[in-house]
Amino acid sequence: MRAVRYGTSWGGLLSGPLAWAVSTQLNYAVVEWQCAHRIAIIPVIALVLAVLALLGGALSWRARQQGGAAFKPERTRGTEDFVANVSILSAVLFTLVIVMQGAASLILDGCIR
Amino acid sequence: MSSADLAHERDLAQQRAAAQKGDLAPEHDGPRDTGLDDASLDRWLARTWQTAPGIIGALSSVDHKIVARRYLITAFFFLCLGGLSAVAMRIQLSGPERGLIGPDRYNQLFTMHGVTMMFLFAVPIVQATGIYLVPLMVGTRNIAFPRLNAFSFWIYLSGGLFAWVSFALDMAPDVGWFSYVPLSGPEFGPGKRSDVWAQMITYTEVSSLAVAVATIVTVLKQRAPGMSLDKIPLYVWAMLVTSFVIVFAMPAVMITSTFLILDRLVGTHIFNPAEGGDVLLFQHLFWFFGHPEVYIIFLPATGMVSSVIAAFARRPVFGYLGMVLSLISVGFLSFGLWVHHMFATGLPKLGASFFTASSMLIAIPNGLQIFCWLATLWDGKPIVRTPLLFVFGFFFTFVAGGLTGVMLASVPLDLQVHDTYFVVAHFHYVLIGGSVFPLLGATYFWFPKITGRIMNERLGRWHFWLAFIGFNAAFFPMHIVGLWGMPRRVYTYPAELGWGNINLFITAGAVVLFLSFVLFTINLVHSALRGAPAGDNPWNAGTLEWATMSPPPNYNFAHIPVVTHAEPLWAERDTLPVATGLRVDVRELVISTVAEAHPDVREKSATPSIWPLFAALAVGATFLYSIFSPWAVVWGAGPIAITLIGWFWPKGDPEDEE
Repeated sequence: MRAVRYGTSWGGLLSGPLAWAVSTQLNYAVVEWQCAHRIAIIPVIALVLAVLALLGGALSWRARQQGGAAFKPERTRGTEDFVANVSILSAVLFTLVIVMQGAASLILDGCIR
Repeated sequence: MSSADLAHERDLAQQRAAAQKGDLAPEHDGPRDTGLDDASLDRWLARTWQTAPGIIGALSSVDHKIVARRYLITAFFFLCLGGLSAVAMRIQLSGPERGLIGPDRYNQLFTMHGVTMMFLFAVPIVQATGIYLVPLMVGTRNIAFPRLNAFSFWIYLSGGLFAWVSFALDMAPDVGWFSYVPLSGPEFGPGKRSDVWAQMITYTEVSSLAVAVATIVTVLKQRAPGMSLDKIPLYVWAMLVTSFVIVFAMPAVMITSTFLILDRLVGTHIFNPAEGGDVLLFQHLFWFFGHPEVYIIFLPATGMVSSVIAAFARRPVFGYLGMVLSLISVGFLSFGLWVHHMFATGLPKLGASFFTASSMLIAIPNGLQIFCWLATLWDGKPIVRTPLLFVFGFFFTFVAGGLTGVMLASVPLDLQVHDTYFVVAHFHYVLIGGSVFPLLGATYFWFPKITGRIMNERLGRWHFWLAFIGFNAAFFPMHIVGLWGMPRRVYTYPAELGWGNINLFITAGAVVLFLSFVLFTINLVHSALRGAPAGDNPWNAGTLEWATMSPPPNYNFAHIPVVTHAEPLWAERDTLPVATGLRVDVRELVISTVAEAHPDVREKSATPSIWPLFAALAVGATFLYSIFSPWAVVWGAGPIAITLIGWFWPKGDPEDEE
């Protein structure tokens, strides 16, 4: 698959914010479920989403190495690298936020109001 | 002058193929700018892009600079109204149990102050600055969708007048700028006051959305050839991110206000728990817009700061990549903080903690920007003029506001100081420090471009110090009085509480801040009439708006510039490479590709039209009527449809050709 072979420069820019948005919404929605069932689901969700965010970042990293869409005549390596760099850093930043959100559930009980 | 002709070899083949398919006008369809001498070119372009004289011509204008000037003046007018309402409140609070303003009028005053500053001043003025500067900075001749842009101004103006005429008629909203239910609902909000709030929101958000769409398209599709994603000025990046935030945030508040109108007018029970509705839904919807709103105001200000710092530090902003990352990530994260406005509503603590995490970590990209600016100043050779003074004021004030923001992101502290003057102090530090100080700096910086004259430096320095001292004198003590327990939105307080002296001091600070704005107004008027001539590039700055005359001609650039660097005027100090090949007898633009800004096609730009004004009148009348009857939607649909048909009906102009 070309997106994996050459990398996808904007991968992390998509995966980071998307995984974080899902983490915020989903974890917020399952707080009451976790309280009722006493199963620590939130750290698991956070972990999965953190990995997803990083996978997008890895695609951007690969684009940094392999050139991404720069093989197309209308695209240049410089712009691809710029987008890839923004994306890698974005994936890392949003992973950090997701991990922080997940870590909160290790400290706080879901039933406290 | 070097020339990168739009019709170079590779494109010619594509154009021939496209012309055969009928996608493009034929090659020799009208006079082009290629080979014309400067005087002829100026004559052609000035005639093609002119706004017709006379009242109808003025009302029909679609020139982004004219529309932006109207926006700026109108927003300044509303700033004055918002500021005067603040002064009135401060005089009332200057001592215990003062009787200048009664509780009902006071409720209207603080609501109108908040509504005006947020919806009628802060958002419109940052967008107006973008309307003026973005097309110039990206090197194009007009904003995308210029008629939509003109329409947005008329809607904004009618929304603002609607709100303030309501105030004059003693029917202004009195439930705070966020107008929480059930206070604003049918049970506790008789009369039309809350309806005025709800529809004023609709006017201003329609206007905001229209400008956001125009800005996004301008930035993505109308950039000068060569301005790839890594060469876009940081101010333009900021406006792009802001516009996307507007597109995703504003609909939430329009839904909120529409639901409120439905509850009040039609008898739905969307926010009525007794009938299965949900009060908290209002807060969720409102703050899903309300928190990004803060960044809608703040992000353009960061772009202004970047422009000012680069010009006065004499070097490009340090860490361009980090700055862009910061803008984009703040744009996203701004949507994940809204619950921190609702910590006192009894939500599960774990749920609230997710928003605490986002609220604290948004400090990382914001802090990154601050350090990049400091590094730029450190490495540059700063020349301290008034715009840079305001940037220094921004650093101090915004960082202080940011620190109290991190404090408020913590649930236990927030619960202690919720609805006290501590919160009032925090958000004024963030909003005035984060947006108004950069805006004032930006005024001194870009005033020469808009008027052709430089603002008075001596008055500017007096203005800065008065504003800085007055602001801190007025708002820093609010932290203390808030910690003492003084609640916000009280029209008076008993003498026994001992808050009299500190409130008198706060009022004195507010008067000094007010006087600084009087001085600013004098400077604006005096400099516009008698200021020293500015020349094209008085600050020797590097971005494209300084490549044209001050004030710019109606066509912005005689030739579309070609960009080779993020600061094009510094990279090409002698002559700026230009693209040629555009028609001069019709309004034509270069449409470029999103990532690389390769010139792609020539596209027509809409001509002046009176129909956006008529459409705005029809839409405005419908909104106004809809606070009295739900049938307004039905009766208003006809006039709106007629005006839109008139707007889009082909007029036989060359610009209508496919």
